[in-house]
Amino acid sequence: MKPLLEVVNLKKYFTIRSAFFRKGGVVKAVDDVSFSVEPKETFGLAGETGCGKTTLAKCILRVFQPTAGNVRLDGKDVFSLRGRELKGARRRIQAIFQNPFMSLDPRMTVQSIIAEPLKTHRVLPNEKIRGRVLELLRTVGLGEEHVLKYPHELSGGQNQRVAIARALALKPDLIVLDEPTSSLDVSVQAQILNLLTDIQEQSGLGYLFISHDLSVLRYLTDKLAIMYLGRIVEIGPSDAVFNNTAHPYTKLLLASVPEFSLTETALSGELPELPERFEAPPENGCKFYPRCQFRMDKCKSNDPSLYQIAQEHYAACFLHENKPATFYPKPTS
Amino acid sequence: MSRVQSYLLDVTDLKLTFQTVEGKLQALDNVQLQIARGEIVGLVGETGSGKSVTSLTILRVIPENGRIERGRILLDGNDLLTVNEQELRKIRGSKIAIVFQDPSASLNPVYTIREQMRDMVTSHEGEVAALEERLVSLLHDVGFVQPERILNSYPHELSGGMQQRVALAIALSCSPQLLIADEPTTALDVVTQAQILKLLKQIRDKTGASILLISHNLGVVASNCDRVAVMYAGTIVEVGPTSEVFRNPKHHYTKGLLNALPRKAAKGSKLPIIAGSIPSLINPPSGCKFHPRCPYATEVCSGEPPKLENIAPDRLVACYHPAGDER
Repeated sequence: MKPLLEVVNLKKYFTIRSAFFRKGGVVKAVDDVSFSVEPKETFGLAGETGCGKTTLAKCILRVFQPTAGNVRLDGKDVFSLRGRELKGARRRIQAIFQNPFMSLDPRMTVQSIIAEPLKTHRVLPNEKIRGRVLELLRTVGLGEEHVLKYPHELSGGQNQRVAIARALALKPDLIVLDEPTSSLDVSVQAQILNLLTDIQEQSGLGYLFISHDLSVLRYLTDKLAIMYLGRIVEIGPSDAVFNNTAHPYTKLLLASVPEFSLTETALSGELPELPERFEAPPENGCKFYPRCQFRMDKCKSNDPSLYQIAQEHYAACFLHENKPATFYPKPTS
Repeated sequence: MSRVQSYLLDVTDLKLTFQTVEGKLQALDNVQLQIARGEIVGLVGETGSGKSVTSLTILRVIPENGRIERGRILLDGNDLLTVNEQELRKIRGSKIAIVFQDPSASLNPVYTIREQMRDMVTSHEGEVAALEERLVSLLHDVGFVQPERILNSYPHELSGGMQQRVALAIALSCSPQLLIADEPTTALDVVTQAQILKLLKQIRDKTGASILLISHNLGVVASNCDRVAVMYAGTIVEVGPTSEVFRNPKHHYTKGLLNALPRKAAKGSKLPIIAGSIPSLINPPSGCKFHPRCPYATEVCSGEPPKLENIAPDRLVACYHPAGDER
């Protein structure tokens, strides 16, 4: 199957200007990341704060111009698109963010929020817009009584539903969800996750689901990539990543999740001691070196490539050096 | 209480209201909470359920429009609601200490860690001989290997987890009997979270202090607390040993909350949800506040509110129709 979205060797570096008391430098927020999302698939992206998850999402959404690399939608590079073609591509990728109070305009009613993309892209004659808005509201479990409400009159969960309705308005093929349930309570989170599964079943769209919550990712995703300091350190089918964990960082993450929320069988990996100070990751070595329990001398000066653990399961760690080294996915021309 | 034991903290029948423009908001109603010495008790609930307000009421630092209508908060036998402001000042910090969610907001950005810690220690103990050694040992206790370096740092030079450990060191500086940790790991990453939680346990083991761990994260509470209290709409609906409550919840709200977690659900399956949404506390439902959302509610549930009562030794539940055993 042809992938819906391909991210190929994507890099996004930020230069920090030297200021009065600070050295300048380059932050490699996303560093040589490749993966692909098939149609109707849920692809998960996990990692801690500052690992580059959101920067990556913003590159895919064309909010940021990447330093190098490609983002392809149906084989076409989205950064070379202009004019009508670009507008078409924008219709096909939509986004939902963490905090709906910030992603919805406080001065617009629910109706005008959901109608806005319909008007911008002129997909419907004006007289049909209201009907479509109501239809979308019903899809996300809201009703006519919410049409004239403002975001501040709705709860967090309801606002997130409005954001989902807005994202669905243009019938996209892919929705990028950046921590969509992180600001919600458990009971509301369950409602939103159910809604997202329903929508996917009905309309067959793909999700790129970014989250730091591994239990949510395990429940929802088909494939999963773990990011650490701008790199993908492990990638593969979710079951394989959770059950046959290959990278020490993934193991650490899993051991750190309060075990109850993930599995009843305790994942008893002993936590390493508290770090004293940030030990800067080595320039040419494995970025995880300072925190790694299994570190070897070579990790300090050599950057591991992704080794193939099993079919479609890869990890960037010298512990798997005996396995074939590969690029994932194979760059298509 | 069936337990013949004096609790360090014994909160009974606490009711707190806030006067708002829209009317009287019942933030806490009939809150019962007991903490034994050296015990870690978790307080879980969703946004707006009254977890943080409970902790602020224990310290009596509620906002001006708040009124404690009735209740008793006994610390070591002394009612905190009747002592005067002067005595209260001595209790805050020295007997009860608190750490908050966002450590960068509770540390002063323009002072070094040394200056902030010195202020805390001297304001409670007066001039302290060998102050430096004291600060070093406090930081050492929260896991810093080179405390001298930390003392010279400003908060922004430390990571979130390190800041939280400094906040903990300050909280522990007067050897409190009760440490309230209000969402102490919510702003932190999972790995750091696990380390801070491990540290809390070590502190309890070493100092024998009691800890009230407030969190919305059921996993955090499940893996770290001896007992857990579940809050809903300003009341405590269920209390018991953590593993019991999570394995065999008796209140239908607790049950619904646990089922809504994606932890065990098969991929693609539906998560069981709690119907409806959290009630307004200005016009709360009569009787059991959960009854409009409860699948097992009957007429009796909308009448007199159910009392938090023992259904087994050490298991309390406020429900007329508690869930059956599932073992």
